[in-house]
Amino acid sequence: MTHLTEDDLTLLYYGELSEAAAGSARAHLGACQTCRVEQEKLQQVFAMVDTCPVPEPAHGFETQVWRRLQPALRAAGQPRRASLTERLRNWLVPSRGWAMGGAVAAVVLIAFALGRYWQPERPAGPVNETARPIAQESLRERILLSALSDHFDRTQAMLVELTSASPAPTVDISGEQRRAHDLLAATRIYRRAATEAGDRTVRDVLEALERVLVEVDVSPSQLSAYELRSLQNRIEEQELLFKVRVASAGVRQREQSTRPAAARGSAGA
Amino acid sequence: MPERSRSEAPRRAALPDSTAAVLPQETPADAITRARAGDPEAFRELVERHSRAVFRVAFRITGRAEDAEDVVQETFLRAYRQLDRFESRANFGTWLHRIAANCAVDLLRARPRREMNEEPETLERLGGADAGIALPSPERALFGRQIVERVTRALDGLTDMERAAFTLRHFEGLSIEDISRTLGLRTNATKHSIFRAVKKMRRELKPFLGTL
Repeated sequence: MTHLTEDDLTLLYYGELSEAAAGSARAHLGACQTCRVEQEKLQQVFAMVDTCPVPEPAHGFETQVWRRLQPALRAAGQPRRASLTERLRNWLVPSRGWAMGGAVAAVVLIAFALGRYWQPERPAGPVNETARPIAQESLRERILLSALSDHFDRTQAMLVELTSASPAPTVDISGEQRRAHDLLAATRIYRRAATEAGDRTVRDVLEALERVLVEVDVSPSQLSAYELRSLQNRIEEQELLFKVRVASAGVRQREQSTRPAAARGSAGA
Repeated sequence: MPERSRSEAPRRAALPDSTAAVLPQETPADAITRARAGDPEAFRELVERHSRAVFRVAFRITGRAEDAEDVVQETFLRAYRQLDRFESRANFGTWLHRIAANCAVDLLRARPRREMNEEPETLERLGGADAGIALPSPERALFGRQIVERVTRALDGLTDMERAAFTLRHFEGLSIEDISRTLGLRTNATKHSIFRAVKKMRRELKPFLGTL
């Protein structure tokens, strides 16, 4: 008789076994005293875990949360309003879908061109010598950060799909490949920009990302279960999703911090 | 104690009261629509309706009230910025909890591991564990505190991913598939995070088994 493992009992407890597997586990439990004892112990562990309390926030917590949020929300602007990046993207590519990566790349190119136009030298002459470059610099940074944040979001979505693809004898990744191909161009541009700007954190994430995107791009469209698992393992081993998520959060924070500064710069101009 | 069935929808119905309170309440679609249109009062309504529940999720994952408060702020900020991505057919509370889980995991990863607490009083010292003796009331109270300390310590001993996956499965009632999507993991990786968490919890709580 093969006994149930602790993992089996855990899945059974959480209702995560298939109907058939759960039925067979229950039948075994009905006949096996050893496994019933193990199940009982596990259930006691869960019962003890349930006794662990969560502190209740103080009275007025909701109001406090709202008060602290308000300045950040004001800085974030209207929630439904599309960002400049999104508006540019919609303008460039009216049809949504897989072509989105290409649109992002186009936006990156625009942002990059804007960056090049503004970055190397400040306009000579007495007109707006201080205020204008500050406003332009802020705007440029916001455009870049907004586009980069968007880029990270889309890359993350693609990676999540890839890493959560269910193993099957043959898995078609052609959709992910097309997106990886489009994302790759933007990733390279961003990586170069980050290198030039001396932003090592973003550069390192983009480098790691680039390697994986290249791998996805050059892979066959049809992967065997083993090939898919190997690819998924490589992505997981590098903790790429985590790195992208952290980098994305950092970029969003920086983008947000440029907003009030930009507003002040414009007001002073 | 019966197992938690996959068909229990919502699964949290089987959870104790303290956990059931974590459940997202149904949010009027009207408030979301108005918030999306830029009505700050509508968003305030959403914040007030969900902030306590988000705090509980955040606390379960981070284990610290001050961290949980930061997570609440970040969660609502992200939600505000992503309101246009929320699908109206989905449950707003569930959507918010996923954002909260992500924020909490990001925070855990960003902060250094906290030092472990001092060794709490052991049950063995109380002489009740393996003897299977029914403890009198004051001792039971102490015993209860010991369990809470041990559970807290066990949770602190989990890796960030184990803690997040276990919390979302055990306290939040998310399916392993949903947790995988939320944390950006493969299903098997999520399962193993939960299995490792359970093993560690069980090891930590071993002295108490047979005493409930």
